[in-house]
Amino acid sequence: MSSFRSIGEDFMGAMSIASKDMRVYYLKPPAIFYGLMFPISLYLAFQMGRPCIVPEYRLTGIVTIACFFGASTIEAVVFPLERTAGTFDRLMIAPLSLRAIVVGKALAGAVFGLLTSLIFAAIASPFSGAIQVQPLLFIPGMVLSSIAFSALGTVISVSANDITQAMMPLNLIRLIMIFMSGVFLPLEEEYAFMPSLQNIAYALPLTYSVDAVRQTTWGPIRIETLLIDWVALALFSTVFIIASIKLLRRTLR
Amino acid sequence: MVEAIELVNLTKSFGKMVAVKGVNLQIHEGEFFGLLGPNGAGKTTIVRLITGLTKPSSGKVFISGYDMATEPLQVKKRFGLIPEISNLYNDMSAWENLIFSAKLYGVKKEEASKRSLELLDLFGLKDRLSSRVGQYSKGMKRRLAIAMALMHRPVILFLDEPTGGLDVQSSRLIRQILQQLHNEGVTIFMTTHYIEEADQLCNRVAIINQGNIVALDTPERLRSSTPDVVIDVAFDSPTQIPAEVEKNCSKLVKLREERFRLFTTNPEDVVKLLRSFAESAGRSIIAMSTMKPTLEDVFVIYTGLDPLAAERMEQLRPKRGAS
Repeated sequence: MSSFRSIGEDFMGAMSIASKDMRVYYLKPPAIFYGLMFPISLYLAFQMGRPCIVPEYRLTGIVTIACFFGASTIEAVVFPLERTAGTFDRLMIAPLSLRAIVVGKALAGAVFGLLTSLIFAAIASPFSGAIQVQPLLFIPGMVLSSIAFSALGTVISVSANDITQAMMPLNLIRLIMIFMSGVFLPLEEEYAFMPSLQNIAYALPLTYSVDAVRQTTWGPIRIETLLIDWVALALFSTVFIIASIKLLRRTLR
Repeated sequence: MVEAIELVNLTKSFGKMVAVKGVNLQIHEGEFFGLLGPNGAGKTTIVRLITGLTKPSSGKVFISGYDMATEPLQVKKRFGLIPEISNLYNDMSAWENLIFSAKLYGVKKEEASKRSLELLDLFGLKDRLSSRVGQYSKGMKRRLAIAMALMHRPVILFLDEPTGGLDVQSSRLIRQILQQLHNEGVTIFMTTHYIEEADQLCNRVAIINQGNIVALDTPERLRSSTPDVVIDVAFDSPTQIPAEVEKNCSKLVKLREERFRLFTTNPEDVVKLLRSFAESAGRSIIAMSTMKPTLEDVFVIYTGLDPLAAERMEQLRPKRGAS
């Protein structure tokens, strides 16, 4: 009974933290720059500078990049700003588990990522060729992607004391993943120079997100691989959240 | 009887530096307790250890009998913390800050609204409840930080330098409210640089220096714990106190080029020596007074590094488990 009450208190606490973060940090300049402007610039560089995006990846590319950058940016802004202002201590002395704090923070990032990716999807759809969005299958993939990327941002940022400290490793990871996860090209083409390297892509959450978006916006849908994408994204989320809790506990030492 | 706060052999090291060295303290329920110490003495580290913001290297913290290491959530429900920097959300209003604080502590919606109004009224912030906190003055921010810490009606309140850098009006209001909370039975643990504040408010005071509690008692007893008399002397021009006078003092503090404070157990001889020095050196004593040491003088003696004071510190150091 008491564990149910504690889960309930944690849930309410996590929701309060998430809604506060949305209210306070969504419009902060670093969130707008790294979460919106940066992915747009990156996409345009690929699309217009030296066009290399195949048609079926036009919408997939912009949506997954928006989701990836948006969801992982909020934590990289929130954790350092709250540590500097001392407001993070306010959460740490509240009667909440570390799990509630981490989940609350990750939730704010996930909602930001989901919103930005849906907005980008709506804007980019008319220019993306013969897309066939399957909303009932597209949305779960986007939700799971947002959570996974937000949880990744949490792992990187949970112990950061300033925004640069969080953004530098995060941007490095983002760029590596973008080049290795087949965001703009099918994996076979991307790894044509050395097909054996393709296995690395399956260790990256972005690969599953790209596949889930591509299947549900362009087709063909293969439900078994779509399920694998969802399960993989859920597993990545769980691993990242657990790692974040452990890292947060270490900051108390 | 369960103590409100109990620290058992609390130690904290940062690498090779030991910030808190085996501190034992018991703070009784309803007590107003002050922790005094110079910068870097370990005051804030102790507050962070007690409130769970930092884990001890060794030792235990008990709050109302609950062990911080094993029952942190039970402990955290019982206290409120006002850190040295007012940690508020500057982009939110005072009202939103208070309601957020209520949510963190599971205070029900109706109670949170009622309590917020009550606290805003108590701290004189009701007229500005909708303003962004970023527009508040330092004093207003401090008052709001205390109001937020009181939202869930904690039985223990920790304050780290509560009136540091504030205007007189805010400091007075905060002191009055702390006194009122103390009268209502709230246990208060406060660190401060302002010795007069501790003297005025606290039932007991501990002096911490280099991570050690070097004195612990009521302000009255601490004042009488030193046999020294304080001599304040001012000459008409800059000078040095001769070695012969210094030899008769446990501590000598140079206040200005021509003004000195001397701590001695032998005031009559020191006064005579000072007069004869002035005569022989062709200087005039323009003011001289002898007085019992204030709490600030006691603080200087205990935190000073001269050998006589250190020796006395050792004699007066609270024994393990002392309360």
